[in-house]
Amino acid sequence: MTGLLFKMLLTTSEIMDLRRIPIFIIFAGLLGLLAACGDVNRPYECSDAIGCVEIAPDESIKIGIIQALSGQLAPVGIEQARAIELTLSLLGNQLLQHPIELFVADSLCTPEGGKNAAVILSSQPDIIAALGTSCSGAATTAAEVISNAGMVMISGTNGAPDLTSVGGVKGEYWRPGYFRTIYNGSLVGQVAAQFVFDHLHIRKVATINTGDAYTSGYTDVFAAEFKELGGEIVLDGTIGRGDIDMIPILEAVSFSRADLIFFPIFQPEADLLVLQSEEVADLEDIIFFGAEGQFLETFITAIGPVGIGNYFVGPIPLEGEANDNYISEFKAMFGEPPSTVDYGYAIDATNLLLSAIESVAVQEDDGTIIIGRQALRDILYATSGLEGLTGTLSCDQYGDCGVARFNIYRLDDPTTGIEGLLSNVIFEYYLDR
Amino acid sequence: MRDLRITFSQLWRKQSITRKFDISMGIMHALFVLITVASSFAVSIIRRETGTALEISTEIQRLVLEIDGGLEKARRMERDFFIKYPIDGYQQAYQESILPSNEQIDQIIQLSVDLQKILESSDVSEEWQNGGVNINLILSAAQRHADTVAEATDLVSILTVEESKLIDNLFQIEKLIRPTENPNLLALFHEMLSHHRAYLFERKRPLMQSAFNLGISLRGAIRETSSLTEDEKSQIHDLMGDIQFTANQILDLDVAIQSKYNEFDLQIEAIDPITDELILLTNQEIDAAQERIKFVSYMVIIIVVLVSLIGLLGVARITLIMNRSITKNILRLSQSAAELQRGNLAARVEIDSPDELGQLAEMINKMAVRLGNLIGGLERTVAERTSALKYERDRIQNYLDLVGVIILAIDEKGAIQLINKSGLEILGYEEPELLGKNWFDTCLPKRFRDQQDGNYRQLIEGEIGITEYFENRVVTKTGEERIIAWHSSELHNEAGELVGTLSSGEDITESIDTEEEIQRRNLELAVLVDISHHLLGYREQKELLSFIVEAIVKALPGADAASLWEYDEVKNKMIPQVWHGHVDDEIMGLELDPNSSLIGLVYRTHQSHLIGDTNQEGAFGATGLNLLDTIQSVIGVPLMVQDQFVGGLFAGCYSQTDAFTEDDLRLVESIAFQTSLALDNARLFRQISGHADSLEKSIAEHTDELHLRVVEGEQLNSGMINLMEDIQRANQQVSSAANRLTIANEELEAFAYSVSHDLSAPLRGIRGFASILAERHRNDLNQEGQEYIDHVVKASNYMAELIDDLLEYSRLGQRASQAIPLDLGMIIEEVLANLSDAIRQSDAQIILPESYPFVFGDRTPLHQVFLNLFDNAIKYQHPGRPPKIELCWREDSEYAMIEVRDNGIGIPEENREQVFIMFQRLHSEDVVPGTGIGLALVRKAVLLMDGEISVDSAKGGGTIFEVKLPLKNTSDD
Repeated sequence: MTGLLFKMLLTTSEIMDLRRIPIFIIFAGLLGLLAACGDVNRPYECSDAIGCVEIAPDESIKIGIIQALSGQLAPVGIEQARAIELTLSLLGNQLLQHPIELFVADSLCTPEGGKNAAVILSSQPDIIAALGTSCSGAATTAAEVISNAGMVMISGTNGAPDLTSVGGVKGEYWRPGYFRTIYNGSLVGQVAAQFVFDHLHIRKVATINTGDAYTSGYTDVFAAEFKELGGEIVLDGTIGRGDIDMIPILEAVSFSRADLIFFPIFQPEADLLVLQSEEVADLEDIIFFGAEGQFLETFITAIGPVGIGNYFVGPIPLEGEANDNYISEFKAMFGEPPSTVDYGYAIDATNLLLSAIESVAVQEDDGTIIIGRQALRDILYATSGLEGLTGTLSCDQYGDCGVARFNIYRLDDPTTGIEGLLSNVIFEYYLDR
Repeated sequence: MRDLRITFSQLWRKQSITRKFDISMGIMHALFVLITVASSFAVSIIRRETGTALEISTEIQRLVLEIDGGLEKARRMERDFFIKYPIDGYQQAYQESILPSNEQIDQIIQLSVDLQKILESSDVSEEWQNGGVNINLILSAAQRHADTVAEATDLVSILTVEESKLIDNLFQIEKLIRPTENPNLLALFHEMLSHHRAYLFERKRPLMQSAFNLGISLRGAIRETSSLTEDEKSQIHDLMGDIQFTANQILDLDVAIQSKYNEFDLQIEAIDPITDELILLTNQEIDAAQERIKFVSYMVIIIVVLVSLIGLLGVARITLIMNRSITKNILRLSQSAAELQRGNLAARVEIDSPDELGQLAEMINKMAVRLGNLIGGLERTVAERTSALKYERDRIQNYLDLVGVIILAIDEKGAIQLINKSGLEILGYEEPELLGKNWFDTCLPKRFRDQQDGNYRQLIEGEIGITEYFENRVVTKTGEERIIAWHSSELHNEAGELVGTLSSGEDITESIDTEEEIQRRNLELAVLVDISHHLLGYREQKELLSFIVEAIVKALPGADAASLWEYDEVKNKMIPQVWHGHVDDEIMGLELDPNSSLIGLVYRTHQSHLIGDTNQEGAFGATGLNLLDTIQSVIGVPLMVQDQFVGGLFAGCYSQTDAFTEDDLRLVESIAFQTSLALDNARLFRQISGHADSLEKSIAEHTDELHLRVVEGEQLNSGMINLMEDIQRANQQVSSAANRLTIANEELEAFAYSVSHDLSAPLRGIRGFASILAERHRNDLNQEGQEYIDHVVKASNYMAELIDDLLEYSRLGQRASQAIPLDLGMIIEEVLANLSDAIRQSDAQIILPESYPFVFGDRTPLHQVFLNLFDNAIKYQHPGRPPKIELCWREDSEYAMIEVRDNGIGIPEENREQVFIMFQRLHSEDVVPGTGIGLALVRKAVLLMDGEISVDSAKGGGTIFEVKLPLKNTSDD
């Protein structure tokens, strides 16, 4: 600037005029003074325990998405990702005058997939948080990687109890920085056991899981509660993901003389189990009791009439104007309405995260924002009374932020699909915290 | 600025040439230094750019590739582990696969650290800095992979233990159940066992579940069986519990291990695209670096070019200034000088400069003015004198052209400076063709050039004095040699130096030729006469032959030697008899094969040969004799006696080729003819002497007998003694007479041949010159002179014909008879072909028989006989009617009688014998042309062939000649 002024004021001949020198000295001094005064805001110094993410004025806020985008549970993962995108879109894809940039990774609904996706995202240096996973099994590994990277992860579908806590005790897979807006699955298992015992008056139950954190977590909680009530778990069976032949396990169920099979497992194993039960003797009257993983149109269609009489424990359908707006926006954005009832939890997870970022971000004058990672975690753990689509969100020390509200449904008419199932509520559960 | 330029221009003009050059060179050097500095700077920029960008990208690429390759290698080893451990055992598989894999991972980790260091440096490009995610994944890939491997191998380790435990437990149960031999139990157990084993093989959970189910059944069966004790049942129950637990462990472990497998695959899926992307990025970086290098290079080139252009412009500017101030002035000076040199003395140098060039220009201008004035005066004087000289020259030229001799002037180098009209006419050139040419090279025969030129040089250089009169040969344009008689004088310049010669030359060729010819002919004639004298007087043969060869050497100017060789028919050898001239002892006593060598050539061909160059005219075959092999040119003539080859007469030259002429050949032939006569005489003499001896011997024998008879009847035959003596004397007389007659006839024939042969040569000369005179100079003679010359021509022609006939007549006697069977028809055909013109012109009718006999005779004489007969029949035609000639024949047992009839003027009976006598003519030359030798020749030829000829008149006019010829060789009789 000073040089420019010199150039503007002086010509080659005039530079030789010594009389002009004192004027320039004074002028330069004034400029220097102004420059010094212009630096009012000193740079923010990060004192966060984990570290800070500094986002320059022209940079974006980076958020990761870890969902099951392929495989049998891809509809769940894709819907979660769409819900997130919709939420951001409704906010103009901006936060704090910064664009939001999404980094998507496929968790494959497997522990190794979740781990791999988390590693990929954590390699990005400035990602603030991840929204996911779809499956609890993927979360058991992804949460560790994300947590170690200093990020936070918020899921809208992970139900495995041990991801947060079981009976008030820190779960096996709990990691700092992990949150969920869906209810803790341990409540589901308990409620299901109570329902079976009290309402169905069944005393012998066989549980079947697929060995992962979600299904075995649900069956473990169910079994514990059912036993506590006085019932008998006559079979604690495990089938493998990808198994086709369900006859052996069904034979075991038949041997066990169970009256009900509690099987909070996913497709296609759930389909095969239900359908092949007709081939095994003495299972004609067996009752199947599934969970959220089977709240899919494809499952209803697959089991067909064989599934008549099956019970399901799952989330309640969302209602209200806000929900209707979201559905409309969802349809407008993606051409079809959501296929599950879990979209609301993804919307709430997204809003929860953005709210927390807004709260903790330090904005500088030039538009730079600085987000402390630990501060973000802290603000999330301190979340209370945040109104969401699925209810009022409040996060506890273990990361459970969701409203414990779910129903038990029974499939009476497969032809009505999920909508028909959702309309056939047998039992309602709501835990107001 | 304009003032500054004007000031600079004035200042520059005032500088000397040297100062201007100094300033210009200084500026140009400065420009060159500038260009050099700019180029060096450009090179340093390139080096810096290439060093940094390309090196980093290349190094990163190398590290990424090594990491990728290392990971792949590690994965391969790990896969091998999972394949091998069930077969080879955990420990062995671990040693062989996992440990090397771990080492590989350690290397990869180190490479990752190195890569990280490079990326953290400030030298990497923005692309690398922006690729942080991918780099971090790469960096953590190795460690994650190592962790996964460790976890997986730990799980495998545990799994192997559990599997072993499971199998052990199963076998323990088997040991307990087998003794029971309970089929149900055993069946259940084995079925359960098979499902366990099936699971261990296929790793499908339903198989294990089936095993569990069978386990439950087995438990129930065991509870109920009585085959086992309670203790055993309890053991089995516990074992089943352990089996259940272990199996579940195995199931969990398998799930966990499968999870690790999946994790490996996911890591690969995650890393491979990144490494590919990184490699692509490195390639792009390298390409970008190369592009940058290229760009920088282009920029550098542009910089260098710009600087160079600036430099060149500067140089050009300086050059322009130099050109204006120095070069142009120099060019002006050069142009003016060139103009002055061309004679344009009005040319002036326009240089307005105070420097050296301006001063030079002023001096040149002044010099041009003075030169102009000087040359103007000179030109006027030269013009006046040239005019006078031209006048004198023309006058002298006219005088020279009138002279009938060659006037020749040559300078000191021999170049022709002047030649008059007569000279041009004699030599056959135009003046431009000779003026300036070297006299000796152009107008002298080659063989004389060197000598003449050498003499002339000596003259010019004063080594010898001028020869005022001499004769030499010149060669005309057409190659003809002329003999010129010269009178010469020296030409001197004003300084008195000899600068050439002036000569007048008279063409004396004709007179010299004639004189030489006459001299030569005289010499030849003298030789021949001399030889003839010797022949006429009987001499000892060897002495005679020696005389002959000596005469040859004398008569032939080119001959170094002459020799006579005799052919020995018995030995079939050529033997030298006499030798004169270049002689060698080796030659005498020699005997040469006549089928080879030069000497045998005449034997082989029986003809004369004139060989100008023995080396070029074919190989005669070396004899190994120096005397023969070194001959350069040679004449060889066969010696024929009675048509028999008896030897050869040779003349040779050792010093040069082409030493002999045709005239020399003819002379030697003449001498050979005479020599043949001598040899024949000797032979006849020997024969006659032999006959005489025989006769004498016979007579003596008879005389003895007679004496005995005389003794017995001496008294009765005294007259017989006288009679014998008379007979003896008569025989001697007869013999002598016959001898003399033979000699006389032969001498006559020889003389006739010799004379006619020797006369033919000069006669040819006379005829030739007479013809030339008649053809070329007829118009120069008056009518009387023309008549005289016609007579000379006619007479010489007649004489030639006469001599030819004489020669032919004489040859008949010289030829040895070569009688052979001849087809008369072929002879007649040849005769008629020879007379075709005469037959056509006379419109003669020729009637021939249908067949012809074979007669015994000599071809040439036989041809001559019928040629003359037919020719006479045509010539002696009856006036008013065309000739009609008929040939017919008849034969008896020994002879063929051939008749030639004509319807001509006929021969009166009283003249029929006369016509066969030589030179006897019934009609004058004017009536019927002829020499009077024809019929004499015909009769002689017929007689020589042992035939007969007669003449008779034909009925109705005309003549019949009958030639009687033998049908077989009469010598066989």
